[in-house]
Amino acid sequence: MIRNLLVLLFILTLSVGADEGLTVVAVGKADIEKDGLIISRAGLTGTLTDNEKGLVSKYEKLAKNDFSFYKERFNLHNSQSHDSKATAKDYDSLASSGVRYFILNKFEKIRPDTFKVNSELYSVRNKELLESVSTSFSSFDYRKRVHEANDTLFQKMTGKSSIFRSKVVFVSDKGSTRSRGIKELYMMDFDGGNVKKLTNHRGNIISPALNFDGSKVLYSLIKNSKSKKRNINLYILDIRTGESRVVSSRKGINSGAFFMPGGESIALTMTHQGNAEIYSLNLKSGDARRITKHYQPDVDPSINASGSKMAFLSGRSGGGKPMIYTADPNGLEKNVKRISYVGKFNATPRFSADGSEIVFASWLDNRFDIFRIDENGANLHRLTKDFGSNEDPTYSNDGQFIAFSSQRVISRSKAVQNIYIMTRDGDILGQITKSMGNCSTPRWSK
Amino acid sequence: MKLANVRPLSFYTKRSSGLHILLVLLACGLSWFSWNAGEKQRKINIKLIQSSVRVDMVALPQRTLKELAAIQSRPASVAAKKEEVAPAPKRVEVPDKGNEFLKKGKVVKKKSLAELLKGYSAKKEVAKKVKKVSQPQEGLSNKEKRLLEGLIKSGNKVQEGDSLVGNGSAEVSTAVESYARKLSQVIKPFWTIPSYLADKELQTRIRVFISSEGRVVRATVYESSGDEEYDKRALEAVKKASPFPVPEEKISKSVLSGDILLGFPL
Repeated sequence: MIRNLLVLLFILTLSVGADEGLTVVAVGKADIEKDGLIISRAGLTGTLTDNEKGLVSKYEKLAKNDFSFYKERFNLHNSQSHDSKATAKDYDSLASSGVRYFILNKFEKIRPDTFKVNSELYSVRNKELLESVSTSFSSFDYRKRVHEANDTLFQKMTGKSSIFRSKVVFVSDKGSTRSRGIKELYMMDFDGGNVKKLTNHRGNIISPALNFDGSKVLYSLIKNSKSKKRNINLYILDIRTGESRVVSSRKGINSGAFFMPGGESIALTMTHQGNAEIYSLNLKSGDARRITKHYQPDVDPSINASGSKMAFLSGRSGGGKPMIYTADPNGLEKNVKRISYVGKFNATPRFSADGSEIVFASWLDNRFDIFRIDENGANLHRLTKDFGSNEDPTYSNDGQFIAFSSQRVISRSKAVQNIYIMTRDGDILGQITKSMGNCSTPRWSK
Repeated sequence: MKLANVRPLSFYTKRSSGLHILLVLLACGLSWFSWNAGEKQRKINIKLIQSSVRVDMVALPQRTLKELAAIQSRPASVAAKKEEVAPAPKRVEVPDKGNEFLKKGKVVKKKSLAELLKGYSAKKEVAKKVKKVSQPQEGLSNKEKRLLEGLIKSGNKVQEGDSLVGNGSAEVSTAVESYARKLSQVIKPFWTIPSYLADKELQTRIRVFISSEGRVVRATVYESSGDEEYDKRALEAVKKASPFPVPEEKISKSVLSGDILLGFPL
């Protein structure tokens, strides 16, 4: 009996003695697998001219090009021909090759050079039709129609809005001559198509800014005049009507403007009181209110989408190195906080769409490169390297991409500057502007 | 002694064995109960460790995010080789105002440590300044001198962190913890999920039992995410990443008894 008890006690101590505590180690966030996507065409009936055939294939090419921007999310497979609705058997073979979605475009000729297209989106995983969009297009508006249809399909697949409807405004020196340099304002689709010239001042336009619905642009103009007293005035342009007017012509510089949420007032840099300071300006009344007050220059404001924070550059840290600061734009020198502590020359801080990140350019190794930092100053990352001199970053409306201008020196007297798009992690997707002269200061519509 | 009272031997055998079986069962029951209680205790003792390196910035980063990601996703066989970075002493106030900047949270593999140090030339200057300042002070104790030397050697800038967000509190890690960190680095490249699970903020914890050769003996779901596919993916990642680095002998017992939980993502 006693021996039994002893054995029992022994077993008990054994099991209790093994207790030392578990160690949990974090593996971290999973990499997300790409969704396989096929965009294919259902049989197109009727006789078509070469022009019409070309139009249909342009539509298809553009549709694929849209999704290729989201290459971290989608893996575009080569299309096969599907003549009718997907069958259960199709689903299985598609799923085994890693396809998660497929889009079936059914074209129908309704008039010469005009087509109706019905785009059906199928989920291979759930074996069902998710969405069906129909639209008609001709050679004049097919770009717009593709982007609109794709945006609807993208939202259905991801639950998020895409960049497909977004626009980019930029400045180009196209039309300049050797003796007379001009920079005019242009607007294009996010993919570089549909370029439109917006201004005709025959002067030098700098620092444009788009409002939140993309209907108005602010810009500053350096006039090409011989007089020594050239003032830099601020203009506002209504894109729909094409009318522009002067917003501020105070003495000195009126530039670096940025729309506040709501679009009724703006933030900008002015020098009429001597030193460069940031002001808020009501567009209707023209009344100005100071936001910064410091004997060092404060320039280049950028406001987050909620209007609660402004990022700007200031020389207040001394040493001739402009640093990035944030402040509350609703007060005077309110909640000023230094964000950047490094960099010889930081420039153009811009908020992401959700306001959590700031992208900026900084001088490193004799050129500008693009960097990203959290709005609280944490997580400084370098995004570009060995890719020319990169400036003027601007976030896309969904925060996933950054457009910027990149300059390459060709010879001692020649350099080209174009606009490129990269993912927010610095994966460069490509050049957006082509044969548009030197392009700079892109601003992405929000 | 009356013979009449003597029962056949089989009677005693039966009784005795019956009693013994009962006792054994009781013992089993009790030990099971106490083991369970121990498990509860273990749950309370859970300690979350995460691998990261805290980097204090004195210059703009030379490496791009893409380059760092490439280093990170490199198989952890390299990571297993790297030397242990001793938990650095407390930061010394460097007389270079405003030119240092804490970069927290970025997980940087220690493989890149040497290169990182090389890259931050500015760092050396800072370190030199520290040295200059320290020389005139005669009153430094040997211990402080050693601390300072170690600090200068390590560049004053990179130290082992202990969490994903890098709150920077230096903790001495146990052998199990540092082994667990290696595991997380080995598994990370295999840890993928389909996009439809990406936005759901799921979490699962896998308990691994690892043999002394580094093989996964058993992997079980300890805390389920509630999503079957997600749990399955986490288990798959563990299995694909096996075999793991060989655990040190002193921890092989606790590693085999399943002391390590892998958190996906935490």
